[in-house]
Amino acid sequence: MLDPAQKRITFERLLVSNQQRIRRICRYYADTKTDEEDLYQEIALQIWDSLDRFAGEAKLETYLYRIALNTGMTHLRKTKRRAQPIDPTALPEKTEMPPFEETLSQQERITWLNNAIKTLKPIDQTLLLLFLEEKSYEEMADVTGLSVANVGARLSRARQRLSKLAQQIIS
Amino acid sequence: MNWKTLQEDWQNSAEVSASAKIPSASQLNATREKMRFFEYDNGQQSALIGSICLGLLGIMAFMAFYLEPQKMMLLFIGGILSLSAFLQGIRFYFFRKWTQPQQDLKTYYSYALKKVRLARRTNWTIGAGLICWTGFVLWIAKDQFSSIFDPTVDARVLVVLFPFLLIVGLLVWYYRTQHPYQIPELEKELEKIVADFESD
Repeated sequence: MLDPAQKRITFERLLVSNQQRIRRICRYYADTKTDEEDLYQEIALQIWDSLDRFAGEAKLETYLYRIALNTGMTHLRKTKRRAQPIDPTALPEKTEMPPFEETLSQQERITWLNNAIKTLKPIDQTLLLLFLEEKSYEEMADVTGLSVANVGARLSRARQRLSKLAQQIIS
Repeated sequence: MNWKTLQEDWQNSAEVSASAKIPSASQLNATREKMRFFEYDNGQQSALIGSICLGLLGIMAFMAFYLEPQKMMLLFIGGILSLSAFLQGIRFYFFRKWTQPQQDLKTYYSYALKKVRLARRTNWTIGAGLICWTGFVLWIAKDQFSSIFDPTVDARVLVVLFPFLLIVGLLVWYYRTQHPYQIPELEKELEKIVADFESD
């Protein structure tokens, strides 16, 4: 059990050093800016509440990812009934379309990614998010509870699916 | 498709100002209150307090029945309240154990499913318990029906009891059909996800 002052310092350090990671997860799971801010506050609260329970059995970063992703998915479940259905192919229209990266601007690619990932199963969504964060298979396995081999197999299928969706935009 | 570019895009996408906001203690408390009020998942402390209050009221009703054994309605109400307190207590214990977002996804989802099932079963158990207990009280009081429904003695209790049951019924209806979680639907959804995990 951390003493309150020490807990506050650890909490602030954690949030400052992981702010961007948490914000990216919030942006993925939230529909609007307000929603994003609410989710950020929820994740911060869960981190605060869980700090005492952190026993060091996992890396702190893995621990944070678990909290952020689980809170994000719960948040998504709550809000998805009011969300609009997503069509990942109905994004930008361009006349010249060679490689995918040149077809869309950075912002458009991020929007496309957000929408395309949401068409996957929840577990695959998480794996893709962790892949985009450049996490190793071992870390993904730690966060999800899947075996490393399954992480590899699932991720490969998910990436193939996204590549196909990207092809639909180019062609 | 160049995944490296996408990874870079993704990682550069979150805008965090230099003065990154760290929630203060009061903001965290406000979030906690908001979640407790609006979310089905949370409010564990409220569940515990509710359970203790119901238990105390149940004990009081039993004590009142002990002092005035002819008032069978007190026995009836004591039983209902104690049953509710017991079930709330069980729910509190398991919800507390299962609502821990630091668990890995597989565990989190299987616990979420258990939680939803427990919520559904608790509702059914309360319903079944209510019927059984009513039957039991009516059976032991078959010779003194007048004391149960005596309008001069226990009418006030009935007046309180029926709106209470109505509210409980409305809450069950709300959670089943109107609340964003819609328990039966959520249960199916979670079953699919857990089966997906299990298939690996």
